[in-house]
Amino acid sequence: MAEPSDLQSDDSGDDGRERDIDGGLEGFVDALVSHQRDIYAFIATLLTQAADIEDVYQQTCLALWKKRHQYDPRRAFFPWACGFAKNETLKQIRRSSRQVHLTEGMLELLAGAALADPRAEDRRVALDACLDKLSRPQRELLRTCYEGSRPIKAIASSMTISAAALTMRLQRIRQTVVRCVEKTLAAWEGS
Amino acid sequence: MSHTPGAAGTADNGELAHLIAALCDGHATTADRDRLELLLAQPTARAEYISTMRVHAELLWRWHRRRPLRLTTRPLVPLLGSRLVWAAAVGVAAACLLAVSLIGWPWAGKSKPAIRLTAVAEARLAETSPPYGSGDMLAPGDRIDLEAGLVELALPADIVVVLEGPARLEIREPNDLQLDQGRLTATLTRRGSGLTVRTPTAVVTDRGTQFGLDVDTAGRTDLRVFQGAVELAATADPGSQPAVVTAGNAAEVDADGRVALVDRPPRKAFVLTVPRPEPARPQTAYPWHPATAETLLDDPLAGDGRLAGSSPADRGGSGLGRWLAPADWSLDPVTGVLRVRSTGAALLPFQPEAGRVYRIAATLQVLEGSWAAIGLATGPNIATAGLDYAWMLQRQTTSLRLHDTARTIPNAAYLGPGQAGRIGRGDTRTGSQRRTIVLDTTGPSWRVFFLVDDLLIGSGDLSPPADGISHVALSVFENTVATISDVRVDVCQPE
Repeated sequence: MAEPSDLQSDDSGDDGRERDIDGGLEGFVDALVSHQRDIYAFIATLLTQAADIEDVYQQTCLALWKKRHQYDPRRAFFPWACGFAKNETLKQIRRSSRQVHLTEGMLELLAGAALADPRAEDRRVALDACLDKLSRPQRELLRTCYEGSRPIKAIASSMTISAAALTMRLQRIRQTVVRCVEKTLAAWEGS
Repeated sequence: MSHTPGAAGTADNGELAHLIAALCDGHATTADRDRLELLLAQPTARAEYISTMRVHAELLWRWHRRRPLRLTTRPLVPLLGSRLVWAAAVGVAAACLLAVSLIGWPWAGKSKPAIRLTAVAEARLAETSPPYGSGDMLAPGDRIDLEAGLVELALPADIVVVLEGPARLEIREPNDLQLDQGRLTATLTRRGSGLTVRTPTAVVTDRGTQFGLDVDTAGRTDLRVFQGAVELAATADPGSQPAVVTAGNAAEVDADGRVALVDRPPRKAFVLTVPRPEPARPQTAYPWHPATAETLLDDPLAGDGRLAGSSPADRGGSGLGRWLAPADWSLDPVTGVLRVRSTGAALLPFQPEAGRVYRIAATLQVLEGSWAAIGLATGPNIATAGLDYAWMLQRQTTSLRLHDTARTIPNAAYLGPGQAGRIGRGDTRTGSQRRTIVLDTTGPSWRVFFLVDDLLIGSGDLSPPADGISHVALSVFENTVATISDVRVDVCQPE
């Protein structure tokens, strides 16, 4: 399988520690474990729906595992892994043509932009703070919907509201959180 | 749900958010998608989309009921729940069931025999081979392509087989192996058990004995019988009576299928068991003299605020010097310990002298990500690991699902910078652990002992002898979340 070159970087980006433990399997495993959340986030930027993201994430990790001998610890792991993730995403979109996905051209455009998130760790800390700022019912609703154990319709029914009203409520809460995270990051940048 | 579209390519209030939500929640239409893509042509809209999706991704990662990550190339040990792979696995399973119903399952009505890979030593598997590890279960049809090292298999009826690379082995049945190339030994201890090993030129049948086989690239088979007796037949002459080779004798089947007793020694000694790592020993192996011991540094790392610039005395501890640390390394008032998220190292001055024994310790717990470590540094480099001598790392997990069973990726200890001078095979302890490095500078070459919760896991000589050690270092690998507490350095002098 040919990996796309546009997502690979010549910039090492690593501090040398990734050449860990015999420079072999364990170094690869360390890099995969430490970047699994970033890989998942990269895929989620392109695919949006939980079941698709999960499938592509699993397939990406499997593809990386099969190609682990090609892993060069002198190069940055994450851009290399994102090449696999993008390939698997495109395969998934071609397979599930009945669902509405972004077009391949748009995915290419977004993939480049989604790759670099130097503030990923800050973003997670900011998200913690912003979730704390939500009211308890808002936080519980968000969690219930994201857990995925019950369909939106069932959750709406138990709240005696329509699914459309629940979707709108969810969208507003999510927007509140997104704006809070961006504001928090901007404030930290200025401090 | 309705919304008012703005002009082509420009988002009005909420339109972009609405379209993104529709896509996330799975009810977007093709028209929604087209409109969204028109808006995403604008860089500001793309930035908002990516911001939203990053939060969406993080919420899914935290809360969505996700499947454990399983890395396997075998469809019958599927990525459970993965719709795609599961569908493929169902197809293969159906085909297998059909085949079994046609040819009959050899162990019908009995418990299914199992082959377990019980030990490996310096083993390197070929890329074409599945990533077997110690503890993996193998089944008929599985192949091991071993480029180097040793692999030990436990077959049913207490049969132990040791494969020595380079070697290629296929499991035909639990007690029927195909050795295409390489060396193996088999030990059968139970009466009535049997094992057949086929090579390109021979069939070896054993019923309670110990023997070695060496198959070269031309297929020539060299058989050595250590105990008991073995039947040897040439595949080129299937109708002939097999030869019986008894203990202390050797026979060869050449590439043309000729069988002959030989009296030359084997090209190298056979390996009958795979060496196991030494168990950790209680700590008594390093010199320590409590009567002369004193504390140089004691920092509980409990409290609040940034670590950088603070001193142990700020937290009721003792010791000179102030911490050098990344700006975002701070003490967590909730957990009461140093909680670290970003790559880097925290350093506190420490310069060992000759003629002493130092004990450097910290309590580590890796909560998420890869690993955290304690060690010694030679310079004030806080941006990277900063671990130059005598350091040991602890992982979040040492048992990873890399196949159909867990594989152990141990913690590790090193004498030198980077990953130079690895000591021992590492330990597998996770959770909150007290990790101690003992530095003995009393001899001409300095000696290091690594301990986990007072169990010695390895030791070695520091070479070159600790030139310019300047700091005690705490370090985390990228994207790792860890807590670190109770950093302490004690010293004693020989009595």
